[in-house]
Amino acid sequence: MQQKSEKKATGPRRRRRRNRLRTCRTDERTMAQRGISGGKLFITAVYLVAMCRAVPVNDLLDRASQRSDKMHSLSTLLTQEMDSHFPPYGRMQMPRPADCHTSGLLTPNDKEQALQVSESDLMSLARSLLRGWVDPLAVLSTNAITLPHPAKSSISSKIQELQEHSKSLADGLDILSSKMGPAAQAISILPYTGGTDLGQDRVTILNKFNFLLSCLRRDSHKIDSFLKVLRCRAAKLQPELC
Amino acid sequence: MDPEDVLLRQTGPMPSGAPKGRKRTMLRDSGDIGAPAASRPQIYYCRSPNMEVFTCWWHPVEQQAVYVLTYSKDTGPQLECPDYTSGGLHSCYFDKSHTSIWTYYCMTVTAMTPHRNYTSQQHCLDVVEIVEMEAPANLSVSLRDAGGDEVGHSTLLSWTYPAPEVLREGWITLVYELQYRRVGEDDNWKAKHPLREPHVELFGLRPGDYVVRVRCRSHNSRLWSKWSATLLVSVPNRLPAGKVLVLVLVVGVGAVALLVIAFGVIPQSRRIKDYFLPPIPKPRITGIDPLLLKKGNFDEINRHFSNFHGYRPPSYSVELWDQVSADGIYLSTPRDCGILDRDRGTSVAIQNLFPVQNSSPYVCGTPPYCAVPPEAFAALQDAPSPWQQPETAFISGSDYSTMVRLGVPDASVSAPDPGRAPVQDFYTCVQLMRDSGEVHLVPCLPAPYCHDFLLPPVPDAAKREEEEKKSKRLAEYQARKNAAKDDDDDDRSNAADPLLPVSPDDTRGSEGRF
Repeated sequence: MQQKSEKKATGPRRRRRRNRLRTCRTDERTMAQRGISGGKLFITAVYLVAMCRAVPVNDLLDRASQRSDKMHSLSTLLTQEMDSHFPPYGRMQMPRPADCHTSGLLTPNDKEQALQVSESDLMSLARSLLRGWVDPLAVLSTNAITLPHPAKSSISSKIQELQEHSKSLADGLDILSSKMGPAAQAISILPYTGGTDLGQDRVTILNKFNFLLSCLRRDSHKIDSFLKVLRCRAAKLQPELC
Repeated sequence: MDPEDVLLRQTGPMPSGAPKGRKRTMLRDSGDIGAPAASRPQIYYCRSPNMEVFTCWWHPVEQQAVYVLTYSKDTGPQLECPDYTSGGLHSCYFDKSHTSIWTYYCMTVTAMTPHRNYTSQQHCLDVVEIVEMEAPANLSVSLRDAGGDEVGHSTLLSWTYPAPEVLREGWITLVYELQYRRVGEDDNWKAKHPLREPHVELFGLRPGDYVVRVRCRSHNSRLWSKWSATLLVSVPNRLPAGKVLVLVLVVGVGAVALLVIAFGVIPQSRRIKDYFLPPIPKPRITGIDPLLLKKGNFDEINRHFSNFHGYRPPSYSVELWDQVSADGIYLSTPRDCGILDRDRGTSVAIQNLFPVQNSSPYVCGTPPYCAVPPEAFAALQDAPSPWQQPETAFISGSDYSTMVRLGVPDASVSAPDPGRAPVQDFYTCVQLMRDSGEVHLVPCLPAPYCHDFLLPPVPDAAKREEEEKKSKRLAEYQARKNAAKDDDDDDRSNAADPLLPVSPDDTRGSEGRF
């Protein structure tokens, strides 16, 4: 929650970028003053400029992937908490991906396909998925308060946390995508048509809740994987980030 | 097939989180061939080591059978297992081309015996849910000096992931957990978690033997890998060589310094002290033995000194100084310098320079030592000014009645003679007075100086205040001049050393004493 402000392009980040640029400029100056030969100087300058420009995006991507990691672990915890009091009979009826409201989005199905997708498309996919979960999360949140489940307060607070993380992650990805070009800006709309009411009787409500949570878990895993691939690709100069 | 062979062949990896199928296998009776319903195959464990391929294992039936695994992806057609051998016996291996993640696999195993087919329960999974990494390998340790402020050794533990190519593109990101414990304490594991790098540095390990192990997990999976092979770490209990040297040096230098002080400095301490802090000369009075001055009998000293003119033996009672004022006059603040005209007394405008200790009334006015020419004095008689006709002032608690005159050049008091002639050349004024009859005299200023103060007495509040200020200033000047003198007086009254150096001023001032 306290990292929310980092996602916005506010003072701290701008200042940080400015500081980095300042150090980059001083680096360049010192390099120039050392009187390196012309060719080497050019290459070093290019390297420094590339590094200077790449570092902020790296940092942002790192934070974004940390945020998405947190989101995914939260959704996993939610599922576990739902199952802790009821036998996982609902587990056997795992939702078919085609049933989730986000199934219309074409995502890569395995690693090879994922590695072939361009960065902008990966970013666009992640953002579309995030955007598509804003409404369902609100539905989950309102229904969690009256959920016929013993751990409903804990579930409700986790869903609220999820909403906050999702919101800040969406903001951050908006900023990141603005650096990546128009392809990253495109978002597919994934409307949620399930309605605000989850059902009338206890079993239906719980089933629907479980179903939504499973879809959420899958989608948060997708977002997390895409962002991690993006982070690794952007961190060519820093392989330890992979 | 021999039942024992069946039992022995259930080798396949036995995971830590294997479901209850394993127990069922072990409990199966070798002679129980015709057992109903318990002898269907069961898929008990599926695992993906890198989110690209996965394998599933099942428990076979007792009879000899041929196993067929069929699966379907989402709502697609039924397909058969592509590879029955790579994963071992009773397994199905799905390679990259057959693995899709974020898709729903549902599979069943059918055991086809000559008599009948046994079909297992349907087992559904999503590959992302079964991601379990390999255990880390090559756990190694290196001991080094802990740099900086730490004492002792730092233990650097590092390991590697056996298949690092999996981590290259960021498809899988690992988080590690390291546990260590002392050799004797079997259950007291301490954990370091989460670790993103395949190395960690432990500080502050007490000397002894430790057991260390590490495991890893994909970031977005729930399943931990198996523990790595444990490593035995011995932390030595010697200080590193560098620290020993430093210790020896410090101790040696300290010992030498101590010896030098003990044998060199202390015997010469007197000389050293005299060199740095030269002694202040003791008081000496020619003709008198200095030892007497240091610690003599007071009687003797008084006897010696009694022939000094004006010497008074110190008294040891704290006597308070009263200010000279008429009894009963009462003024609250110096601001309202008006006088309360009382029946018997007049106001005596003597400035109180020092706070009195017994809350006597405070009277304000001009300093007592301003000489007023008689004509001016006469002119002021009508106005309700502080300058009124002097009268006798009775000082409480004393045997004396003193006459105090304002503005009269002579304010020196001599007790047994109230009606003394006023004007004298020697300007001494009484400032404070004691119960015992002593007065504190201050030199007065000559008349010209006082002119400022005694100009037309306009009963104007502002002017009065102005005059007040001037008089105060003057009084302060006087006070500064008399500060030393007063200190001496106080000292004398407070039983201090009677042999302080006496200033020449004092001897002059003390002439006025009784």
